[in-house]
Amino acid sequence: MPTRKRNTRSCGFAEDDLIAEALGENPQGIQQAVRSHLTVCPACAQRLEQYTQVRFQLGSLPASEAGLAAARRALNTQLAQLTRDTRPRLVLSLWHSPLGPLRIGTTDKGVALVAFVSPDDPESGAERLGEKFAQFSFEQAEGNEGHTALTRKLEAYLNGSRHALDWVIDDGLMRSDFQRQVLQAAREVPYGSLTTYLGLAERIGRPTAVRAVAQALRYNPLPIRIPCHRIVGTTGSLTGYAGNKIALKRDILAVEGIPTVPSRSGFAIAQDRLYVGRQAERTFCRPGCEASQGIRAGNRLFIASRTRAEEIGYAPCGVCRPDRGPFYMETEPGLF
Amino acid sequence: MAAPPEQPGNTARAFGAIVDLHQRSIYRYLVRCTGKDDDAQELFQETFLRAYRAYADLPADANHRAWLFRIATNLVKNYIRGQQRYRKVFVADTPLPAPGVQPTTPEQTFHSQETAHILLNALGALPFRQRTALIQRQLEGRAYREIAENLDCSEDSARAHVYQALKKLRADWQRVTTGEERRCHANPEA
Repeated sequence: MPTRKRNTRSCGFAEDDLIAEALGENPQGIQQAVRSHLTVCPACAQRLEQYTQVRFQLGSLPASEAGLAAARRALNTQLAQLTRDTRPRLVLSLWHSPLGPLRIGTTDKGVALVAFVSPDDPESGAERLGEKFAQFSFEQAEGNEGHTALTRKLEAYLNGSRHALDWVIDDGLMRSDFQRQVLQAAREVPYGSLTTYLGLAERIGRPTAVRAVAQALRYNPLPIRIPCHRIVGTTGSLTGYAGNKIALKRDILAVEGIPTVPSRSGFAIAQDRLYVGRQAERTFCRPGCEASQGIRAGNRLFIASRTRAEEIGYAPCGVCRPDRGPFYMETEPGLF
Repeated sequence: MAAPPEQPGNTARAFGAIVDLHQRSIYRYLVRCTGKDDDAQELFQETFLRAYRAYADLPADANHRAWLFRIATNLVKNYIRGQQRYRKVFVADTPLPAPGVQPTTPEQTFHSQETAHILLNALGALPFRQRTALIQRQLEGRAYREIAENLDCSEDSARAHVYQALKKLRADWQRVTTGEERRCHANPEA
């Protein structure tokens, strides 16, 4: 028994022992002493009775079930808000496009993600996505009208009837300001036109950062929407796409009417069938025209057809006169 | 390890189970510490919101009940402080009725609702440590060791808080149950 202050009553008995008795906390020896004292001291007996009553009444104090239920409901609301607010949502949908399964991810701000999914196992990417983008909470966009509208536009792009895929973009998944700069420059390459990695590096004023530019394009979170497929190697080789999906790049280029040919390293653009645009002069030449020989990569566009060149307001070159008739049967855009 | 995107869901679910398990004791504790349903509801939410924020960093072997009681007790401490400040500022001019002495008529005194009222008032007049120690011991059946941990004091102090509190409640109880008599002494003309 721990020592405690003995509050002694007039009869000489300790008040604390009475309390302990009322609480049932007395060890046996003291319990016996208390009980024998109570038989001779009515004042202490009365006091014990009061303690016992207070204890009993305390135990029967009400706590309303309705109050608890209300508190719990309010708590649930707040907890739900808390879990929801910690991370932004990424709404995902899977669309079986003519190019293969595509995952599209949107945030409140716009489309943040387009990912090519392995056709063999379309669900597998979802888990890896979770690890990669842990900053998001994921949600499946089943029957989401916004996503349906997005895929309808993409479908129109892939069948050649729509040239501008004007989805609103959320650039939140871009990795750096440098990447944003590169991707912004890529967006300025028009439909049905091409430039090279070097050309893009020169356009952003970083002519030696060719490899960095290529890496920035490789990790483009919004392929197709941001046309990194319109950037090829200096030799005309397709070099790579989203890693090594070169056939995919060829297919998307075909959508835009850009001819490709098999090459040693896979595929290359058919340079002998592409007009050459001079961005600064806003003119376009037939391939091999001496006027466009030796121009800087940053000033050069490969253009699929006269129609495309005229669409972007380029004038025919006065030397090779590409306006005097097609030099080959131009491919119409649209693969599917 | 669970994949990150699933984690918040898991956390929320696990935490929900903890709330389910302890909500009744915590709510009861807070109702008795504050004496008011709406204040108790507010502190209840705050207790579990704070708990939720700290939940991720809680060691796996933590005693959830002790942890929740500790958060609740801290909130009660602030609550009591706030009330005392309020009384000092706004009510200081009107003398407070002595603890437990309610403007009751003797006929009402033994009414059971009245009894609860008296006790709640008496509880409400107890200082923070005595109040929380008594409620934890008598109403939640917690051990002195747990109360000591909860209040950062020794077991002996925890026991002393409970006993002190009971002495005051008993005195109030006696005063009220024999109120008529005492009032006659206090106000001979009444």
